Amino acid sequence: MDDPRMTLQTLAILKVLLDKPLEPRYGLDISKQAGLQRGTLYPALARLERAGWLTSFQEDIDEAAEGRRKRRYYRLTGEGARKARQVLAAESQRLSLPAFLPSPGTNPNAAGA
Amino acid sequence: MKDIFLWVILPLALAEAILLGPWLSERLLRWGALGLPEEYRERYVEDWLGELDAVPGSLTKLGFAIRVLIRVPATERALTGRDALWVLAARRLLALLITGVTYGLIFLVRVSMSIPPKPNYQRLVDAGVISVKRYGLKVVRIGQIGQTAPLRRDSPLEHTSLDAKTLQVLRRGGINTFWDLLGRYGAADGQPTLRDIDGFGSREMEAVHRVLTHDAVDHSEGGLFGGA
Repeated sequence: MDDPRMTLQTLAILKVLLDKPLEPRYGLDISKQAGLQRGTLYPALARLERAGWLTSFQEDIDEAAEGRRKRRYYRLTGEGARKARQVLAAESQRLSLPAFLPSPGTNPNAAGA
Repeated sequence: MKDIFLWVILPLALAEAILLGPWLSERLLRWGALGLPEEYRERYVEDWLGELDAVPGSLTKLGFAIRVLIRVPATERALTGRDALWVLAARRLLALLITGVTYGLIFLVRVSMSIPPKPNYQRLVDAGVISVKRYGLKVVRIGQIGQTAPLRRDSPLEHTSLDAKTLQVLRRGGINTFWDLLGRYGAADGQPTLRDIDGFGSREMEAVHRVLTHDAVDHSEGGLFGGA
């Protein structure tokens, strides 16, 4: 299976899921953590699941007792977690500031003073 | 009217939306799932409805459902790796529509450019105004038409000093001789023209007759109608 197309949204989802790789999360929770608009992440989740990076399951609850319908939870697969780390590391390196720029928190004027 | 909208219709509409929000959201999500491949529909309806329950607020639920609905084509593509037939058809239709509108606009522009410009009738009327005072049929408004020599019925327009653009417009309108011009356009500014021939006296009529029968006008005697 080909690797899924990496969009900023997909990267944000992967980052959230990598924070606690063993903890399954449902869509609304992921979108809240990732700062995405509710209802917009399903294509990305479907892409990741189709590529085998994610696995999903429906929770087993008594809907009447809980007073709500069942949710679907998503979790990274072992392969997905490994690839997600690689992708995030590569993206983070690609997006990092050039070395000649002062790192955040330093005062560029202080050196010459 | 504005007050009625602000104080009656708007609150009622909002109340309706709040009341109907959850119901409408569920309907939208179920409807949206129809855009997915059949084997995924049930699963996604369950998933979306499960998430809908976790969304607080009636209008927020509606917003959630609308966003999911908008992303249905993308979800479909993610699930199958290709666009759905209806998405492809809609895109093709949109492309056709855009192409049609563009070509339509181009056609309209071309047609409008091929239509000759509306003649400047004021200038033509000006050109048709003739003086019967001194030099025979001389078109006044020296700026546009100068000395006409004795103009006759069949005098070509080149005998006037009409500018090239006006000549072009006149010819396009089938006006090739001075008489065409006078026959087509009437008096202006109260100046008499050959159209006002009823107001002419016997001497003027005789002079006009001479012009129309190609007789030359004797300028030495003050033109067509003698001195002013």
